[in-house]
Amino acid sequence: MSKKEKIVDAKNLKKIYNQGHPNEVQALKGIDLTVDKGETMTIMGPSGSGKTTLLNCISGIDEATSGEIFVAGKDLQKMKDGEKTRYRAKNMGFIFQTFNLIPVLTAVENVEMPLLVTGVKAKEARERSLEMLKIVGLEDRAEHKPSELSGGQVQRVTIARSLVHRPAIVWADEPTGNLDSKTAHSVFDLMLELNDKYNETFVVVTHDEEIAKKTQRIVNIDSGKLV
Amino acid sequence: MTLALISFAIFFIISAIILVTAYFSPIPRKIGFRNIRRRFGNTVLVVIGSLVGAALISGSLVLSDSLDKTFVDIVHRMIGEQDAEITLSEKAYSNKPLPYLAEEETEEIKDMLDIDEVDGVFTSLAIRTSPQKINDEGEPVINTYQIRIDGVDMESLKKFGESPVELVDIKDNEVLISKPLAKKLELSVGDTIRAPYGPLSIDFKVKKIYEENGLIDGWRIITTNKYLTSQLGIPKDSYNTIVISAKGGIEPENYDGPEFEKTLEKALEDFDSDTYELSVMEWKKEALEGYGMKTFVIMFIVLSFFGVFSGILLIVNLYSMLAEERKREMGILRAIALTRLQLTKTFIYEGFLYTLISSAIGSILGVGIGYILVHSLDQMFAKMMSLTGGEDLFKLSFGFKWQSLLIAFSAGFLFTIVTAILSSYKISKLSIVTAIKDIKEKADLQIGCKWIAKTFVYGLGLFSSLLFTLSFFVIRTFMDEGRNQDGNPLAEMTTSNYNDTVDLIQAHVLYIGIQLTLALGVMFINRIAKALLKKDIDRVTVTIASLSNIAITASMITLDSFRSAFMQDAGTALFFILSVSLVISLALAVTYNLNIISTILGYPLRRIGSLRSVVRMAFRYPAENIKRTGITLVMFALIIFLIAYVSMVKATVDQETRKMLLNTLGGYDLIIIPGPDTTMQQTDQIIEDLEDLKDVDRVSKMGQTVVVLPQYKYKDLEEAQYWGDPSQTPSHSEEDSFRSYYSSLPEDFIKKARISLSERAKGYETDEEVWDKVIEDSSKIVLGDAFAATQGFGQQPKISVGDKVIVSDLFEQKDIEKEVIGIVKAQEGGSPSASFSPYIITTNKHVEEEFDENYLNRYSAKSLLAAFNGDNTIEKTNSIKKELISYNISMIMNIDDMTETAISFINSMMILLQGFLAFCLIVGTSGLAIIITRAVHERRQQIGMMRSLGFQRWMILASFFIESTFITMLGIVIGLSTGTIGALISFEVAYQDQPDVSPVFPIREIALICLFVYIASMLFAILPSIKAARLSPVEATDYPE
Repeated sequence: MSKKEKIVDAKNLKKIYNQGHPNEVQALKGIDLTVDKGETMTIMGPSGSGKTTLLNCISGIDEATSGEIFVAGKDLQKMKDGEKTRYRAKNMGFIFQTFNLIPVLTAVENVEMPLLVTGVKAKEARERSLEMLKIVGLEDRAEHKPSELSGGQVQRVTIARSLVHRPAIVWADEPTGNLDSKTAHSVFDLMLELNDKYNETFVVVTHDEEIAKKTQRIVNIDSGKLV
Repeated sequence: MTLALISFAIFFIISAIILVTAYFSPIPRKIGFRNIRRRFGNTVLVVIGSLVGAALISGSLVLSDSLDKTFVDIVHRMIGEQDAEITLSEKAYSNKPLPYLAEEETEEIKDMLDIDEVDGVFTSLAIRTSPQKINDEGEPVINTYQIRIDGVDMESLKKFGESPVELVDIKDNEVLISKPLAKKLELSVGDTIRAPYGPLSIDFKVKKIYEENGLIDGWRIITTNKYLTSQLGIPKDSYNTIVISAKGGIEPENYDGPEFEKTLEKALEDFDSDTYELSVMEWKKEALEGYGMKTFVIMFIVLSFFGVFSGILLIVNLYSMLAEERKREMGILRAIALTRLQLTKTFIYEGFLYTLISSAIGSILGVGIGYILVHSLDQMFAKMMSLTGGEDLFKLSFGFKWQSLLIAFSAGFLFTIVTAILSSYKISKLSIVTAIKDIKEKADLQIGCKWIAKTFVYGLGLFSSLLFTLSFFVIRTFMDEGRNQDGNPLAEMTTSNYNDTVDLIQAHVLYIGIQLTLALGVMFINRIAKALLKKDIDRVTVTIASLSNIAITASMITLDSFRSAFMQDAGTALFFILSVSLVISLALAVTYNLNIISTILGYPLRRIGSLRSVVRMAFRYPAENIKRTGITLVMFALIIFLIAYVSMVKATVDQETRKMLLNTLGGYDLIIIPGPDTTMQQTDQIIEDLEDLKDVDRVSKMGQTVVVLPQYKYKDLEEAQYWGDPSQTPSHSEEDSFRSYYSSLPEDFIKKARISLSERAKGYETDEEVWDKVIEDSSKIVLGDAFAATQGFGQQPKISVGDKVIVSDLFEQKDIEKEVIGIVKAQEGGSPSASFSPYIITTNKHVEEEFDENYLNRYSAKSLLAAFNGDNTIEKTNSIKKELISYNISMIMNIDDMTETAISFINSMMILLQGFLAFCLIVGTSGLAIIITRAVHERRQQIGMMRSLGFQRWMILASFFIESTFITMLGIVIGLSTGTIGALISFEVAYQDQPDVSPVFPIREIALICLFVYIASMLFAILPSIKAARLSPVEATDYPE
């Protein structure tokens, strides 16, 4: 069996809020974590355990206090903000629990956004986005605004957006947290289907054990430490 | 005072209701008050926004108060207890150089004036002169023009009015003068003043110098009647002026001006003199109007409308944004069983505290801004007026009344709280899901009973507004009926007042009716179309209606009633409605088509790869928030409208004034007006002296000689529709023949002045041909613009080109037949010009041939024209003034000075306007900044998400920057285009009789102002944009909702 390519390699990751103040909180206490390319992994843990902080740090949208984070071979900690943003635009996709879509843009325009940010031509961006919406089963909702879509449809559009530019990794923070059980499973199944189809890496933060069980690996975190 | 009390009472009642209900509604109170603390940044922004609005209202009122204070100061300084004046006019021209009443006649008048309404009378022999300061060698060293010397009865003067001015006793040649006059002539107590008067020179000694005290001002010297009569060689106790004080002290509002004038006229109706008629003039209020204060007040009122309207729009926008932001949580509160009323209450309690703080601070801040503005304007006026010699008059005084502060505070409070109530009520009516999910409200598309009932109401509204508009056609008929009924107030009006009133009502009904019909028509059609077509056609209907409204507004000027209304003082309301309507129309058309506009404008930017996503975000937000964008655009565009309007008016009036004045002196540089009673010999002497000067190239006379037209008797003339002062018409009785003047001009002046004609007799192809004929043939005359004026200049017979007119001397002993071959074109607004050619125009040569020297000496007033060798310079003018110091000259005016004086008056008006605009600009730019800051708050999560997607910091910054630029630029374009249309409409009306007038669009000035506005807006907008760009993705997405 060939050794799998590491897409994420985090070493001794620490995150301290309000450092030096009386209300100092150690959210991450020296975490080591690796994610393989094409893997689907779940981070689980009780509320306040540090799972979202971990996701934010390893995805580069938040600064870790110390430690090393390599994503697709690049050290995120050493990158400047602009460089990190460019890297994120090209190599990462994001799915949040809420506030996923820009309310003034239509579904297809939301999906196009990562492509336009990286300078893809408008025509090509539109074609690829429509294609992606078709894959998530929402081609007939392309011109709808987020407020005209159901919760499940919004998350499907978000998935389409997170994958449209073929990123190296997709980060999902409670992607099904706002959905009913049936819709949650259908949305998550779609993510797994796309993982299978495109060999995309998914790192998911969730509370839902049923959902977590569907991923290849589950990592538990408690009080800032992997358990 | 009443308004202040009413508005404060409303504030008090509303506050009491809010506080009482808050006490009994613990849940809404808690939620409402905690919202204030929850987001301190938001609270500060809303308070600042409302505060700016309140400051604008109070600032406008303070400026108005300051003008009032200026009035009062002027009255106290220059008019005091003097409320009316009786002067003499001769029934027939006599040989007396100075008309005066005999002692017994004066006593008779004084007895007649012993009535309840009068509390003081003093008598004076008033003469006008140009006094000189005399040095120890007896030589004149400095002089000034147009001063009145009052030879008074000191006893009656000392008892004059309720609060008589305390005066020292004077005797012999002693005089009392004011500080401004002393300053002008560099006089001290004991110095000698010489007053040239006709062939005489009267010397006086300064006894005391007073501060201006309402009696002795910068234009008056007080001496004894005994001394003045003795010097003039007329009997002691001869008077020609009686000054009267009305009961009730100094303040002008303590008596009714026209009523007082009528009372005086009635008291004097039995005065019978073969020689004189008494002319009564209510003086105080007339004088105040003469100082141009009325124009200032009207300007301020119009500007205040614009300013207050912009302030209200800012408040409305802020509260709409706040309500939108709270929509989701208000939905949640509804879901947990809060009633609609409770929901509205939470918002009202929150808004109550905001508005209380902002109205209190804003109204006080407005007073401060008003003070700075008045102070700066006063300094500018002082500079401006020093050019024209009127520096003592235009002293703007700062003043504010507590009532104004109360009104500003209450108005700021009421506008804000009403907006808060309406916004929250609207949201409380949304369905819970719509509110929580932030879904746009769906239109009422289902045709059912409710739909039919609502549509019927809309239809009824549309029908009523149509009827209202069509009533335009019957208003005059109805009003004419009223005018025919005795006792109806319309019947009491003069014809011209009545016609003005009808025009004013007609114009307002038609214009407001059209606005209402268009607005209700759009709503009605949209409603039906949406239900039938199941399609939103707002964009099409609003665009068509808005553009139609602009076209209709522009075409309104073809209506006579609209033109007439526009020219009246009361028509300023129409100007305001028209301006706001133009701005709103274009802003609506633009807002509803923002997607198309942004596609076109964004095209070049979208070619740049990395900007594609940025441009999309920047344009999409304003396009999706139609209401907010629309209100912001209107607020901004209104200010730019005024800037464009004022700049165009200034530039065009400047150009036209210069053009007019260049023609006025026909190539001469100076006009010299000798004092009254200057003899022909003295005039010739002045000409000789002038011709001896090396700087002077040539000197000519310009005369105004009394003539009569025996064909026309006053009794046959139609009712006079006076444009100006009826006393301009020579005194006459109804049986007399019509009296006018020969305006005799030098030939070279006629050739060069190129006075435009409105009509030419047959056979004359050009104006030049007509003027050449007048020079060549003494039987041909041109009628001045007094005859062409649309509203008359006193009573004028109707004379047309081609008519043969008999011209005679005052005693009708000559009959000279003349043919009218042209009529001079009237000046601005159809009124007679201030030029020197308003009457029957011929040449000096012809007049001298037709009338003998004695007649001309007695019945002709002469002005002199002088042209310099080489350039026209101030030094040359000063040397001439010095050379002529010993003559009684009324005025020496240089064409450049005249131009600058006229322009400087216009400029000072414009400075006033621009000062106020600067104030409005604060609202516009800070309003934009506040709206952008609020937008940053509102979009925080979206910014975080965009940053996660790969938006660089500069892209966020650029997105906000492009959005602000887009809004500002659209505001500028809307303001500029509507301002230009507004100005063109004004010119079309104001210069309706002058097709030659070409409106000026001062591109450079307007471009500079727009650039300044843009930079100021960007400076205000850049801070919140930078703040947005600095947000880290996680900081933004974690923002607690």
